[in-house]
Amino acid sequence: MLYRIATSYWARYALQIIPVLLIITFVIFFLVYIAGDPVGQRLGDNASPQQIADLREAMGLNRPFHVQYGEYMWNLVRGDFGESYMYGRDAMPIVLDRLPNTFLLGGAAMLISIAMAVPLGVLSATHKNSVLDVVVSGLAVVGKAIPNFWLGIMLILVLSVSLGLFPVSGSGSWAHLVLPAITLSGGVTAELTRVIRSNMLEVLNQDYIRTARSKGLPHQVVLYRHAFRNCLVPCITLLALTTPLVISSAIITESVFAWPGIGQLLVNAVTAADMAIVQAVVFVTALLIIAFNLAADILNKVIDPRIRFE
Amino acid sequence: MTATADFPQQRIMTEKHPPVLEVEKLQISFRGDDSSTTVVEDVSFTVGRGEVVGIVGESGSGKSVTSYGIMGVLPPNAEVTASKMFFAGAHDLVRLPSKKRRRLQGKEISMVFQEPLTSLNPLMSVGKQIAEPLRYHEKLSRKEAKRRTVEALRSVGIPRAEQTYSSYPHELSGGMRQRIMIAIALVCEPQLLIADEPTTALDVSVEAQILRLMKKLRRTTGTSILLITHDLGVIAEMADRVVVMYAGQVVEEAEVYELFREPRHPYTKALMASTPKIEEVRDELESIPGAVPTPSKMPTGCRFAARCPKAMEICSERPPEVELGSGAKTRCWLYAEQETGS
Repeated sequence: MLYRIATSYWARYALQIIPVLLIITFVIFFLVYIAGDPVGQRLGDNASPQQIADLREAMGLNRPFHVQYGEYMWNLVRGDFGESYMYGRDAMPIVLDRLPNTFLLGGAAMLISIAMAVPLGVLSATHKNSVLDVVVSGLAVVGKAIPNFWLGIMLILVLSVSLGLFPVSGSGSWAHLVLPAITLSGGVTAELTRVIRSNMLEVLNQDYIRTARSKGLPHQVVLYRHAFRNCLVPCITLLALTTPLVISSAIITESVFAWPGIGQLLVNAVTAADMAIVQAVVFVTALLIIAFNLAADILNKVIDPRIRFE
Repeated sequence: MTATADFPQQRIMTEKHPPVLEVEKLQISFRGDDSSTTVVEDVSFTVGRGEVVGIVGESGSGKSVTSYGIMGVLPPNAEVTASKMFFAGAHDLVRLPSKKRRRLQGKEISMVFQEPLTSLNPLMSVGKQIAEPLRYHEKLSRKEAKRRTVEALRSVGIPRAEQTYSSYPHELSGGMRQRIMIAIALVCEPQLLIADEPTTALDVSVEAQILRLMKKLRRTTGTSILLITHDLGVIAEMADRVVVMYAGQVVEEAEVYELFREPRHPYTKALMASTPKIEEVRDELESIPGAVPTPSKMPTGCRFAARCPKAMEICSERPPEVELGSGAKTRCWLYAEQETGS
C-alpha cells in the first residue's frame, strides 16, 4: 500500500520534470538564438564579411530556427551541450568540474544561515518586543536590503584590506571560504530569522506547548523539541524556495571574490559569448532547483507524518 | 467569619496527612499594554487526599485560569498571588522557583486538557509523548520508559498498545486521544490530577467511557482529582465536593449531595434550573438572563446581582462568605444572618 503510494508519487514527480525540462531547454535555446550570433565577437572588429559568412556556415547558424532547435535537442538528449570555444572542449565536464566549489560555498553559506537564524529567530520569539527582538528584526530588514556585492566589497575592505584577517579573493584554503560564505548567507539568514520568529510566535501559543510545559520538561526541551520542530516544515520550504535566489547571489558573490564556481564561470562565459557553457550552466542550475525542491518535499514528509504523498 | 474552617471529617484527615492542595485567596491577573485585568479573585478551596473536587461554572468564570495557575502553565503576562497555595503541605506553589516547580509538574501534579487533538504534539508519536515525563522525572532508560509507556497505554484501555505506541495523534480518534492525554498525566502516578473539561470535546458515549476510566484509575491509584467542568452532570457523576465559581470568585462550596439537594446561592440554583432533567418534559429550557460581567466592568458588590432574581439593595455591597456548617460555604447576602460556626 505505502509502496504503491510512493511509487505513484515518484512516477508523477518524474513526469512533472519532463515538461519543466522541455520548457527550460527551449527558453535557453531561444534566448541564445535572439541574443544574436557570437560570430562577430569571436572574429573581432576587423573580420571581413567573407570570414563571417564562412564561420556562420561552419557553425550552422544560417540554418532555419527549427532545424537548429532540432539539432540542439538531439545533442542534449545525447548529453552533448556543445563545445566551449573558450576552453576548446565539451562544455558540460567543465561545468561539472566547477560544481563542487559552488556546492562548498553554498553549503557553507547555508550552515552559517542556519547557525545564525535558528537561535536568533527562537530568541526573538521568546523575548517578543524586547530590545533583542527589535535589534534582530532591524538587522533582518537591513540584511535583506543590503545587496550582496556591496556586502562582499565591504567585508573585503574591512576584514581583508584593513585588518588582513582573510585573503581578498581566490580559493585554495578554508580562509578563502569565509568571506564569500558570509556574503552569500546574508540574505538567507535575514529571511530565515524572520520566518522562524513568526512561526515560533504562532507555535508557542499552541495547546501542545502548554501540555509540554505541564509535563515539567526543561525550558530548552519545550522550546526546541516541541516548538521549534513544528516550525521546521515552513523553514525547509523556505530554504528550498530560496535556492534559485542563492544560486543567483552566488553568481555575484563568486565574481566579487574570484571564487572558481559555476557562477563565475557563467559570468565569464556570458562576457565571451561562450553559449555552450551558458547553456550547460543554466541546465545544471535548473536541475539543482528541481532536486532541492524534491529533497525539501521528502524532508518535510519525514518531519511531519501528516504530510502524505498523494 | 470569612476564614476557612475545616469540617470534622476533613480535620481527621488533615491531622494525619495534609491535604494535597490548599488554595487560599488566589488571585490571577493578566498584564495588558497599559492596564492589568484581574480574572480570578479571592479563590480558596482545598483538595483532600484521594478526593475528587469539582469546579463548576460557565465560560468566563475563571475556572480554567484557576487550574492553569495551580498547574503553573499560565502565559508569561499572568500574575499569580495567593496568601497560600500549598501542595502536599510542603511546597508553596506561588513562591516555588521555576526549576523546583518543574520537578512537581508532570510528576506530582499533572493535567489533562480540554481539546486532546490540539493538546498533543502533532509531530511526535504518542508513545514518545507519554514516555517524556518518565525520561525526565524518573530518568528511566529508553527501553524501560517504553515498557512503562506500553503499560500505561494498556491501563487507559488502549487496544494493541504496542502498535499505538508509534502512532501519531492525527491517526487516533477523539476518545483515544483523550486516553493518551490521561496516560501522559498519570504515567508518573501523580498525587494530584487536574482535569480541565476532559470530556467537553468528546461525543456523549465517549464521554461516559472517559469518566468511567478516570473513576477506575482514581480507585486504583488513589490520585486526588481537581475536575474543572461546566457540566453539572459530570460533577454529579464524579465529584465528592463541589466548588461553584462565578465571574472569578467562588460563590458556593458544598459536598456533592448537599449541593444538589440544597443549592444555596441563587447562581447555583439558576445553573441547576438550566440543566435539563429527564423526568420533566419542557418546551423551553430555563436560562439565566444576561451574561457574566467582563473583568473590566466588574461590579463592586455581588457579581451576580444584575442577573439575580433575588437581588436586594444590599447586594451592591461586597457580599460576605458565609459558613453554613458541615463545610459548606456561600458568598451571598441572603445567608448573612444565618451564619453559624465561629
